[in-house]
Amino acid sequence: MVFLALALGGYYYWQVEQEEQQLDNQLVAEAEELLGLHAQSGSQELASAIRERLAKAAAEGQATQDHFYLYIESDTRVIAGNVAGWPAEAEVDGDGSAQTLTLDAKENADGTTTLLRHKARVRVEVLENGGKLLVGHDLEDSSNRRAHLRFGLMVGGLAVLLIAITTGLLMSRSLLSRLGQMNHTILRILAGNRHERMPYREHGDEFDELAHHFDKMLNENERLVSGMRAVTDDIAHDLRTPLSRVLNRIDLALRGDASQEKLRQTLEEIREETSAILGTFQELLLIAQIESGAVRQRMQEVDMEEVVSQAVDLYQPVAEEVGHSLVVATQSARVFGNPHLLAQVCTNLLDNAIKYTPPPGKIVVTLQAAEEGVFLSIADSGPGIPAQECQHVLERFVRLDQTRSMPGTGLGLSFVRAVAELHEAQLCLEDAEPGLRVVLRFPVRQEGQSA
Amino acid sequence: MKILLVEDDAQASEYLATSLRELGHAVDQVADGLEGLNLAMQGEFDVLIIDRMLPSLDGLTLIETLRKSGKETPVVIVSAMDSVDERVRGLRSGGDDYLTKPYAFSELLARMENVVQRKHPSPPQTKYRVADLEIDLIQHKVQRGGKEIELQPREFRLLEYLVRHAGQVMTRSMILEHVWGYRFDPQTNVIDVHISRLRRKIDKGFSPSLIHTVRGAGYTIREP
Repeated sequence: MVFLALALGGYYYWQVEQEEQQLDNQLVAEAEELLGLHAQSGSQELASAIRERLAKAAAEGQATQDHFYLYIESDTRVIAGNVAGWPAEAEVDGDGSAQTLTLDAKENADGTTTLLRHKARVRVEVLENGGKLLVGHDLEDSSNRRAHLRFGLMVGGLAVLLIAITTGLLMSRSLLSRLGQMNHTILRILAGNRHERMPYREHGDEFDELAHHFDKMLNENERLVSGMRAVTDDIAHDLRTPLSRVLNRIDLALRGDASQEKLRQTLEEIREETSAILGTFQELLLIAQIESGAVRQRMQEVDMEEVVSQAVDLYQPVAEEVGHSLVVATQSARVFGNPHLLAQVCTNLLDNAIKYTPPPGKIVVTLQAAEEGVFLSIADSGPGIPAQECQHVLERFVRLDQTRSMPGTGLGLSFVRAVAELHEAQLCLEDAEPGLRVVLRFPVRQEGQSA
Repeated sequence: MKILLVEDDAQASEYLATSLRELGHAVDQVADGLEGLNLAMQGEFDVLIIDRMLPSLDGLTLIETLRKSGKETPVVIVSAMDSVDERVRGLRSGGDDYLTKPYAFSELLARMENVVQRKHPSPPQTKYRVADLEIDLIQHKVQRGGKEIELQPREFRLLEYLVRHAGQVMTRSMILEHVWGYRFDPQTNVIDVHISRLRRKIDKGFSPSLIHTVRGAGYTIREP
């Protein structure tokens, strides 16, 4: 608003200045012309030139004068002109620059003479003979123009101001209402509606961006919280059972008067059970650690062929001992990741394949580097996993009925899934016809890309 | 051996000290980090067992200070903190091995003996001999009783690891760590399979057996 007023005011004064400058220039030209005439031809010629100009103006039908002339002798006698008398305020000793005065102008309408006060821009020259010459221009006209200009500018300015205020109000109302909506949403989320998300307008503006980032943060938090909750649930659910078994055994041993030998056996059972519980606990913590992304900073370039070969090397005799044949076909392939976790994924999958395939079976491990990524596949000739169970077995502690009696924690594939997610790898369980094929597709890493 | 045990969990400390004394070791017990440092600086110990988290002075700082002042006594760090990072930090501070709680006593024992041995290495050899078993590391040749035995590369690596530490108990996780570079224990006892295969080649048809199972601990190769 202040800026607008300043701009309009500035424009106004510039216009006025321009006009005044122009007027002054005209006055100078006229005064110099008349001065020249006086210097050349004398007072008489000057007087008649003034009369001529006045007559010419009158003849052109100009009712009101816009030019003023006054020529007086050194004794203040008026020689010629249309101004009633030498204006008292007129500065004579100045440098000849223009000044603004109020004059009594003689109007010659219908042959009669009236006096009218006029505001005029005036230039005063002192002649060689001591006489004085006044040349003036009426300012009524230009002050009218100025009034018009002022009015126009004011109306324009007001209109602009009104529009600006209205738009401003509308915009701030819309901004405030969006902020209000966001605040409300946040309050509702805080109040317990954890699944609610921020409102969008699809404008792609900063507010949408803010809402988007906020949602991302909420999703990440929810993921972490639900991961945490899943771990606590799992612990509660799956550790309680073996722990109560341990308690039962202890109670049983304490109750009766069991023999030394019997007590020893019980203690050994308890020891075994406890170390199994600790193992499960450790594995759960590791999965939670991976899922929280805490190990992300330890990622590096990994020679996947080396990792696979090492795991196969470790499991080859195990497979052979059981009666399986373990066939390997690898290509040189590099993956960005954590070598220890990747190695553990390989041993987990090999362990599963050997364990769940009735001998004599065939286990095929392949590693391929393709354009779409690095493919690690481990296929067995076992019973496989029914398609509808494929998603299910990736969850913690899930063990299919037919394998429940076998050793294992039910965490193997959850671990594989967590590591796959950490590496942005796709994990697929496929039907190997017959058997299960687990395929991990690692993304191709762009040159120079960081974690 | 003379052992300094710096552990603030009284129960764990008592259990360890008793078990170690039963085996004939002399054990000094301290529960405080600063006290532990003082004792370690003054006394002549064969090995230090130091808990990672201690009152008044953290275990890693204790080891760092010790190493800076030139004490090279072997150290086994025991810690409830289980992550690769923690392990790396522990070894960087000057620890010789890192064991995560809970651990089996036999595991601690084996690792303790292993770090003590490492501090007094026998000059590097290219040939090892256990009874009538001979291993040539340069030519990759194994003979027993003058008879050449064919080993696969991984069997050779496993045997090499055992004979380099002949007489010491090597636990399954130590074998996994040093022969395969794995710092986790696979679900199945894969090492047992590898050992039994190696036994078939080294011990079968020969007498006496050289590879022994140490119940609840691991394996060792030694003259009977």
